[in-house]
Amino acid sequence: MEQAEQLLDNLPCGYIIFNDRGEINYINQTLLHIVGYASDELLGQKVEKLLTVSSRIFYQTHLFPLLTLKSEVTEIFLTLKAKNGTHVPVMLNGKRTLAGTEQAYTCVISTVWERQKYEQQLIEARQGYQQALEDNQSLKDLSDRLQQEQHKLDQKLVEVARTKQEYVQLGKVLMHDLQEPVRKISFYFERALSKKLVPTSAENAELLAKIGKSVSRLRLVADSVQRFVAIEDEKEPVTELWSDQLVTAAANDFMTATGTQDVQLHVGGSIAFQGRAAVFKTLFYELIANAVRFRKQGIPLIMNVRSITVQENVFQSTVDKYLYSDHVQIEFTDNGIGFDQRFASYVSGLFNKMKNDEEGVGLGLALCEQIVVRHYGKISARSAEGVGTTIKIVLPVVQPKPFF
Amino acid sequence: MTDIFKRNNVNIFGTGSKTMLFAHGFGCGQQMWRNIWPAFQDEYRIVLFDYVGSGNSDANAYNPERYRNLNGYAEDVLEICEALNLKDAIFVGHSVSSIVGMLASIKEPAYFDKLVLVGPSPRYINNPEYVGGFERADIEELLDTMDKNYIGWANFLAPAIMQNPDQPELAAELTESFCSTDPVIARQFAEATFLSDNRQDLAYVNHPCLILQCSDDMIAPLPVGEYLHSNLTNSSLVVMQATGHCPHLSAPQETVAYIRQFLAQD
Repeated sequence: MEQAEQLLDNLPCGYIIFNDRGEINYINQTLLHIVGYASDELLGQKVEKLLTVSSRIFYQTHLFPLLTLKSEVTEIFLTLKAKNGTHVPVMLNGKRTLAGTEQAYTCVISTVWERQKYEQQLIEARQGYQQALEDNQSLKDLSDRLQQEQHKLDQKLVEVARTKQEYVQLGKVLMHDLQEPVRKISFYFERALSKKLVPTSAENAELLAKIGKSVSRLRLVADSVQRFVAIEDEKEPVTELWSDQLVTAAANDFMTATGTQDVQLHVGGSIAFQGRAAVFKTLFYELIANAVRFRKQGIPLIMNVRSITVQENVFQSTVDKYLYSDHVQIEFTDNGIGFDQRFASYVSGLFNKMKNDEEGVGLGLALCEQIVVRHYGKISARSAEGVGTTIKIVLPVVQPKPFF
Repeated sequence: MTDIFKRNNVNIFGTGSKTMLFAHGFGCGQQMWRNIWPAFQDEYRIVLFDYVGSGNSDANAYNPERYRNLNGYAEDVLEICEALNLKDAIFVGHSVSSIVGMLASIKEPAYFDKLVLVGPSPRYINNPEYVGGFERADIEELLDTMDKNYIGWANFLAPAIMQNPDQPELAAELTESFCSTDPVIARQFAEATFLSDNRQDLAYVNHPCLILQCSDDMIAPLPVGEYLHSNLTNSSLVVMQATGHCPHLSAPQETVAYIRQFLAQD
């Protein structure tokens, strides 16, 4: 036994055994000499005592897991830290075996001073070559791609600018031409009624009520569509907004305008972001209106609005482009009747609405989506029937400079 | 549409209806969980995966812009959840994956029910009011070592490639990689991990969290576990007997027992 230990001590390489917990059970003289410690300074101590900080991270994240998973590792390069602080480059081969009830990790370690020098040269040469190659190729690729993308972008910009102008113009004309006759019909209808120009009979009354309902619905639709178009034409400048203030202001407006009762609003978190104040107030007004319209009867409506900061990728449609930047995430949760999650993307479609919604025009969420998208954000809905709905809005904290 | 399952080497086991999603940390891939997940396979559906750039993921899908930021890794988790249509899953994350899981849970809370955080740290570098365990110089040394010791790393990182001149067809099978295989990717992952600071995100985490803190963990020392416990409103802290940074490898039974206990709580 003594002879065996003497053999190990005299090996021309370091030899160390440690356990599952990384505690050193044995270390031979060669290794002690390399690191400048006495045997009793290391026995029972953590093997990490012999490693530099970066080698410790290496040990914890790679070496130990690999030894455990594969039971064997070879040609691992590490840096030891000697007692006097010197860094010693070494190569290690290790093995895991069962010794009695414990796992034993046995490693042989040789210094690689000379080899490291060659490697350094190799690395530098290789890195230089690789770098030059990559730089050259990636520059070429980039400039090609940039050229193509710029051309595409330019065409898109022209298209978008024209479409937007047409859309606004169309909207204005349509709204004017639609609203004017609707207003007139409504006006003359009221007048006819008040002057009793129509003979009153039971049959007539029912007919008139139906016409009246259709006329007011037509006016509602016309008004809503006009608001939708107006947002696209909005010239309001971008300023700094606070999520909590907007919600509170919109809620006050809504309560005053409609006299809605039995509503609790909890607002948590206050995050500043850039946007157009009036349209965002409209957005929260619409969200509140929606929550009220789909509230559960007989219980108080509870709305929770929480704002937090998250990081999101600013690229939404370009594949493989990533740049994470600060965004505000606003979660608007109600305890209303909710809807089937399968309709989550349907509800924000233009003029889409749920069956149980009789008074709505189907514009509320479409309007919200339009506002959010105009600010380079995302809006999504998550809902469960009978439980409630959460609308999540994610917006960049800083708005990009406009193109035109 | 990318095949998420292939991209992230998603493997599914188990017979339960509720899902446990295991996320590995910086270093080695899903193999790290091999002593843990079998204990849960009768009660849970087990989902294992490798982040893009780790283990046996599709390294071609690696995008340096995306994975420069831990949110890019969180997107891997969210895309897997979406592809599997997960709801109320148990997320089990080791090391940096604890933070990745938190980020994912903040963005899409409905996917998750509880989070198990093994050796988590929201920030590795000390500053006057925070103990992370490392000085900036330590981390810079690590990154520098990874730059300089390119061949060492490359050797280190691809240890499974065995030369077998007699039977070359065997080599391919033997190259199954447990750990990071690409030195450039590993270097970026190290940077995204060790330079991260996610302390401000802790307040936004709403799910119940179990913090499994090892004794004597140099990567995530005890003050870090305590910091997390006091800043995660809905968390419990367990200081394990296990030492080091990988209790799931060194003390699987203890790890399983604490996770089980946490999952039994309501």
